[in-house]
Amino acid sequence: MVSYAKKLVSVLIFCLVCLNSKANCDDWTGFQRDSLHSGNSQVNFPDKNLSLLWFFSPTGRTWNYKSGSSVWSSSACIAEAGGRSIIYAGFYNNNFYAVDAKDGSLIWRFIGGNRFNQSPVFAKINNRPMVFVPCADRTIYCLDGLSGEKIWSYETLGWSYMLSEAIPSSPIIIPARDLSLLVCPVWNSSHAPFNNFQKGEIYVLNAATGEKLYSAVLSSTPLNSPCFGNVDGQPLIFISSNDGNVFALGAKDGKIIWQLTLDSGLFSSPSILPDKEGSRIFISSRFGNLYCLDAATGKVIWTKKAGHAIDSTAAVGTIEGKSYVYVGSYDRNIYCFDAITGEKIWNYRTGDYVVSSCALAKISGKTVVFAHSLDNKLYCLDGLTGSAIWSFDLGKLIWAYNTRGDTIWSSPAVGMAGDKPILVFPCYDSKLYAFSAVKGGSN
Amino acid sequence: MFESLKWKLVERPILPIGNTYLDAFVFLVFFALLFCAGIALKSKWGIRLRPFVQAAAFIFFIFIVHRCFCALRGTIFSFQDIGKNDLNVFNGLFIFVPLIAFTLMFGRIFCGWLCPLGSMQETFFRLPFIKKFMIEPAPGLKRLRLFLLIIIFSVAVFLLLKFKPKTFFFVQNIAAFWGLVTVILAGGLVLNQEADLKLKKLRYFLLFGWLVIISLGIFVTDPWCALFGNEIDYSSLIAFFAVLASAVIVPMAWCRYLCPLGSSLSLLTKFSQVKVKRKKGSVISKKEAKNICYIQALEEKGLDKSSCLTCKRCVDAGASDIEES
Repeated sequence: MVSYAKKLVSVLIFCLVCLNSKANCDDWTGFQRDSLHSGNSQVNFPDKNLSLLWFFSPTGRTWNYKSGSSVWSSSACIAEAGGRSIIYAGFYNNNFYAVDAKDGSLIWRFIGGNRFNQSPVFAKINNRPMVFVPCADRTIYCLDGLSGEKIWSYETLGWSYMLSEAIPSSPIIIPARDLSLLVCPVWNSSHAPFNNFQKGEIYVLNAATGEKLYSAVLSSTPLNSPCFGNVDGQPLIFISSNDGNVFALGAKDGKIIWQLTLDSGLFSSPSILPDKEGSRIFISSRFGNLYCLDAATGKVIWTKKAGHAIDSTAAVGTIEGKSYVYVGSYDRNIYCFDAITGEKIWNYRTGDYVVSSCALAKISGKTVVFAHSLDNKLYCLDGLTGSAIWSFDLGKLIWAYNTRGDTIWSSPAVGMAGDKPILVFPCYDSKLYAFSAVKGGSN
Repeated sequence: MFESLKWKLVERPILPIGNTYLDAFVFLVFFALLFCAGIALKSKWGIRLRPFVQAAAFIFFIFIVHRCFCALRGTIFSFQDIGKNDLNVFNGLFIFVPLIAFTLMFGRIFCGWLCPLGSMQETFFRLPFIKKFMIEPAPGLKRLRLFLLIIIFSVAVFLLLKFKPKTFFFVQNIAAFWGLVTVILAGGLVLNQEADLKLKKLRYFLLFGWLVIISLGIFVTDPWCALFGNEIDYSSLIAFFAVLASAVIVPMAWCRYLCPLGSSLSLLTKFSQVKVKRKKGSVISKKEAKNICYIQALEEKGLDKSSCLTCKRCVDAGASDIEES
């Protein structure tokens, strides 16, 4: 009974934490929307006919592909700041952009020392809208959400000509130590002939000041975006590394609570389903497995196998009281699994690899899944049946080819542009597309 | 259609190296299999032990290695990661180094004793009715062989069009095209037996092209990937079946003409310490040579050392000897 009450209190605290961590319940504040990585927005489109509202193209230039190139940050973030709905996204040309969600006009841009490949995270700290974004120049920036002014920056490693580009991951904001903490993994490497190193390190900073509270080296390979949950009253950070490990760290001190080595490289981030019966972590691997883990112990609850690798982070949603997990795979399918039993509910075959993560929203009150496939289409599927509702042709890749599994592909995001629901997709053709529902319209 | 297929018995590292997905067990078993093959090659019971080593390797590669066993592509990619990703470098080299070491010692022992794709093709050769079909076909059967090759080619083209592998016309899915090339080359041999030696040399040009493509960072596939990589990749799958089907008409067509790993290892056979060498003065008929040697490295008077898989069948038949440098 005590244990049950403890779990119930944990879930309540957890929900409060999640509500507290975002400025507005319709905002998409970071990678996969929130610190749970649920990818689940409650935004409701009034009609299933989504049409292009506007697009934003920061540069008319095209570029040469190189292995690992990406165009936009892995996902855009949509938030309300100063009475305006603003979209934040990083770009391959070392610029970070803030765009008006209503009409796609540029509000401000910030120039970094390298590419912004990772999603930013938005939070209101002491009532000030702030955007936190890591850059491949080894620095984490905190920018004013309204003006783009740099509030603080934290350099994870001082410059040296033997250093490689940093590989950071999308940060999250968590409440711990009575503060708002920024959790940001960064991979740094030096190819100096002596004393060379490669380290995937998680940095925990005071979000208000940029002061480092602690850091922990977890791997020699890059780390993926962390997620956060309160498990049995204990605030935990869950993070995966490219060398196949999943870690649960105490949010207060970074101490490893459990560690699990999985089957192959992990290029997806964990997501968490808070549940009164015990919170669950979902993580997928390049071996093609989707794992459901017990958040408290790291024990595998169930495993499901796709026909090919999975790089997409699982989106988690609840429909009619049942929880579902949505992932895309290199076997071209988008899958829906029962989050509790692991039973496959449906799969939808697209024309090519599905690498990026799914976004959940509602159309006329029904849950739908937005997903991008490398067949150059953006799909909208029924969350319960997997039937196609809508698709948008994004045009051919502008690169001659891409190395499989190397590029960071952006994921769709859902938010509000004033009172209008919008779907935002940063595309590989260098354009940021926004879609909205038009009564009686067509795509 | 493929999402429920699951054939790997091991899905997690058995002996994780440094708490990562890398599995020391794979390295140890691979080393042990090469070692057993090396011992068996030199022992007088080698020919009897070979099926056991092949069976163990078949089970190990297909059902036990839980990740892609990427002996050549993985190695080249890992070289590109030196100074950037030590884990990847180690991952590539810990398979490649023993492979090179054992090839320098015993020749193409991996191809002849361990490679499951080779074993599968060889199994077809061993079937009595297929063997007759391959070694001395009557004129009618010869036409039937060509007809079958045309059917295999047509089916492979149809499947490619039907499933449209990713970036269909691009080089990443080289496996799909190599499957078709295998069938075409096999057809060339059916039409003209004497073309075999010329066609065999093609593999070095293809290997060069393959290396250039990989060095550019392109993730090329090959028929291996269909089974050993635990991936349902259409191009690999279609190529895999095209290679197997070609092996029914021409023995070990893939190993003879195209396999990039086999071609690269055959370049090292010149330096190997243990070699199969023809007995001085021994002459055998063409038909007998074909009957003994699966890959037809055995000739009437000589032996094509770069093609020899050190299977020891010719030694057992009294046509050759094992020689140590």
